[in-house]
Amino acid sequence: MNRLHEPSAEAARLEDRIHDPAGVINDPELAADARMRSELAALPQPRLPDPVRNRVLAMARMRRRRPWLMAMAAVLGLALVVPVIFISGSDHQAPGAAEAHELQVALTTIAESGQQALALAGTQFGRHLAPADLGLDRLPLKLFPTPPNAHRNDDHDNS
Amino acid sequence: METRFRQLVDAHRHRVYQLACLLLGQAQEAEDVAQDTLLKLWTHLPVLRAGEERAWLMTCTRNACLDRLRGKTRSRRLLRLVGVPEPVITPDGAAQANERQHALMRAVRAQPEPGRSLLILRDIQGLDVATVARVLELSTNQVKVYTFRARRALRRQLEEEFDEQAA
Repeated sequence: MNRLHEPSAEAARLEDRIHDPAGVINDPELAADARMRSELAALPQPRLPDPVRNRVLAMARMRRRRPWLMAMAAVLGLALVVPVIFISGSDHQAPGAAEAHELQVALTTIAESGQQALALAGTQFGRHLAPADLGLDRLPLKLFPTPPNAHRNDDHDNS
Repeated sequence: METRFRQLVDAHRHRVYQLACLLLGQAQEAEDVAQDTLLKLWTHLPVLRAGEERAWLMTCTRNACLDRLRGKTRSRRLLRLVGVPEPVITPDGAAQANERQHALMRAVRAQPEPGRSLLILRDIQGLDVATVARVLELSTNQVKVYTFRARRALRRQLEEEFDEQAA
């Protein structure tokens, strides 16, 4: 148990006594505590500067307006977007023969370009893609693979 | 609502600022915390019941200050790790205070929680036990016991310091 600390009930009782000037007269320790309390109460009280207070009020006013601004912006946005959607929707028609012909020409052009690129790549890079002759087929290869448990070599250990 | 907000700001702004100043020890940071807290009050005002505002403001201010202090502790540890000298924190607004008041404020700030907050709220700001209990989420009995112990520990610490200086 910490010697500095009185039991809780005693501490609470003493705390009540500190607030009564008559309660500390006969107890020097408690009187010193009461003086400490008075000293703390007499510390300078800093004050929030007025510009900060005014800034807070102004920012609060701004925040109050913000929902109205958001609502107005949303209404304005809808007023622009909805007519645009309706107008673009009314212009939408099925493609005609001319559009189908243009699409066919574009697809043919893409296919021909692809074939030309493939032929060019074959001419330019084909010889580099042939595998080099490393002579692997002439290397002496082991014809009998090692069985999985060959490393144990139990017969040799027992002998 | 705006009128109520303005009244609350005017009624409690100095108390909020003072709590932040005492906990943080820096006027600029205390102003930031006070501003943020008062703006949070504006946001929460519709759900706050009349009479709860003061305790709410004190709780909010204390939490914001403790968060900042935790951040400072982390950055100080980091600075020590990488070998950068720590910045010296000077208590703003205390330049005119005499040496004893200066030492007293420094000692209050050095107290561990919840003693530090109790000394500020109970003794310096003079809030009643019930409000302090609500702010710190303690029972009224705990407020009394912990305040008594914190004050006595503070007094003994200061007595030792002054005795050492006198010796």
